[in-house]
Amino acid sequence: MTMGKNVLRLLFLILPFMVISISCQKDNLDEVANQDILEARMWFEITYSPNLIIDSKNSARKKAISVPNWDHAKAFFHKESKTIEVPLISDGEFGFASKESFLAFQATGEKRYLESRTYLIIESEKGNKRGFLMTIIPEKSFKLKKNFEAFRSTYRKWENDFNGSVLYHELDGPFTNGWRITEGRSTNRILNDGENGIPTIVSKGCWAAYLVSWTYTCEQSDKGISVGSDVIAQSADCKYYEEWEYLYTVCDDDGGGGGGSGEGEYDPGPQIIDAIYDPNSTLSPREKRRLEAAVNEFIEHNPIYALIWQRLLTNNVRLVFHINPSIQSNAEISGNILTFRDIDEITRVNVGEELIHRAQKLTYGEAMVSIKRNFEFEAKLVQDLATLNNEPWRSMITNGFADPIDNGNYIMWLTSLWRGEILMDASTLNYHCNRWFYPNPANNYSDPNFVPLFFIDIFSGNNGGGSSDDGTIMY
Amino acid sequence: MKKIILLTISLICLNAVNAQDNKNLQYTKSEYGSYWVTPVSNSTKREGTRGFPEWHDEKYVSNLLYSTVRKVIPKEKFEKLQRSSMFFITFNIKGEILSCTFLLQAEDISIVTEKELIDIYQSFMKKKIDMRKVSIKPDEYTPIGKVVDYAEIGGSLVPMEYRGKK
Repeated sequence: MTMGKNVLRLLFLILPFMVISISCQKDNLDEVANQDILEARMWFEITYSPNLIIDSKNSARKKAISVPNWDHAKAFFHKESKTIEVPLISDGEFGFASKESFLAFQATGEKRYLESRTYLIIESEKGNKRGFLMTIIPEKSFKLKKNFEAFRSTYRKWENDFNGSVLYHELDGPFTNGWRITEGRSTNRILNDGENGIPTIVSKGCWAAYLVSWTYTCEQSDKGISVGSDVIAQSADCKYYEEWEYLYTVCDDDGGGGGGSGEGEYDPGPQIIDAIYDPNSTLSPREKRRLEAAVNEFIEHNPIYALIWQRLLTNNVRLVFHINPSIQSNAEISGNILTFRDIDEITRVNVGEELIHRAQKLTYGEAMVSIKRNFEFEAKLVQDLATLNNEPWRSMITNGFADPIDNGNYIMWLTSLWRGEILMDASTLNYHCNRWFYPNPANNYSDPNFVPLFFIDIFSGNNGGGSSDDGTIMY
Repeated sequence: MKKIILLTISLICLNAVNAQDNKNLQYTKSEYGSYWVTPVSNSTKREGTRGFPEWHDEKYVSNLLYSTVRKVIPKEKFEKLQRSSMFFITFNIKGEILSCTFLLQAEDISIVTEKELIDIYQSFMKKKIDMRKVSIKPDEYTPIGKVVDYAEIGGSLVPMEYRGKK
């Protein structure tokens, strides 16, 4: 009896502390979550345009434009990362539906068959943040089973019995990847079909997937409508678009199930630029994608460029990329910092030239100073010669010759080098360099004794040419 | 005075050796043995500031130019021609072709006929480049604030599929 009373007393004493403790923990968690949401919002608003665009396969007639509804943002914690999931407010409604759901909608008029949900996801992992759009598309059977309450899944945490698809898009629209989810487990990868339309031959284990993509847009609606809401603004200006089209190719995945890529996550694929991209770079995701495309083009343009890229990788070069509208040239490199004036200057030509300069630095080291014009001339000569086999061809150098005769002589010399009938000789290079006008930087000068070691190194004994037995450099 | 006369005579002689003037084309031999071949009626409207051509559709430009080259020069000749025999054109911001010049390697002089070169030239001059697919941008040589007027592009006279290591 005494024992029982003591236990009760103890409980009465402990209980308030437990309640306070649990309450504090929840408050702390809420506080942490709110802090995370605030951080995510700040990151998003600095990094991206406030408008999000979703484009089912990069060619939709009508692109849905949305903004995040931060009042309903939620934080989720994963093993190695945390995500902030934010529903969207759209200028109308949009969504994707499977064929079965679409047919059920047509038969019954029940609009909820067509519903999908799209969220802005901001994922933080080891201090790095990335953002993307996630669209959940439940199957008709799952919607019926859940009485249309089919959107309880969150990123990588699918409802145990969820059946449907999840699609990921970049924040400015392009599709990246997706997954088929069966009974809460990712079973098949969804791939983009590219720009070639419906594939005539679908590889083994893959099949074409058709989805209805639809948008309901009110041109002059004065307030947005939540995606998935039953409330639809009634207005003469509202337009409904519906496209029944082949969207993606679905393939059997090797793994599937839990763990790794089996969790059905966002996966933009390996980025070639990551091999030299320093994390201190300040490019936005859109700028980085442009850089990725430019580097890819550069490497694929000709074997000499591929060789130069390989040289940078072999020497573990890491570059910090920035945008700075106040720089004089379109792009410039200083040490390991590569700066573009704006996103439009992130082109194959500009990126290529700066990468060549960085590769020159591997050859010349600290002796490479920008005021010595020969380095600039050599970099452009490498490009002129490397691209001669491309069609059409344009020179990086000839605009710098004021005299057409110098221009003609240079072309003759260049084509003779290409033919392999003459060797690179420093004095001829320096002759042309001396007659070449280059304005940047001011007071630059041509060194008459410059030896083009980088040029000789790149064009001899590589996959763009080779050395013959007599030592002739061939191009 | 004697030196000046001698120099003038030698320059005239040199020109006579290097230049092979045909009815429609002018051939000028370079120190590397190759020839600049310029149509006599070649336009000289290349006035203004030269800019840098930027492709928005590289294949379009390639097809535009090589459709003519393929049409004029017979296939058999492509296998004989040096890849370093080239054509160069200039075009303005309206897409009009302003001029066309050829660079021929010495051994190709006897392969490509004068008629073929004239046909290519005339065909090029009738073409107009769709400037939605190409633009002319100022480059690092362009004085600040200066508007660019024209650009130069070129290409081997041998289409890609026929090019060996020649």
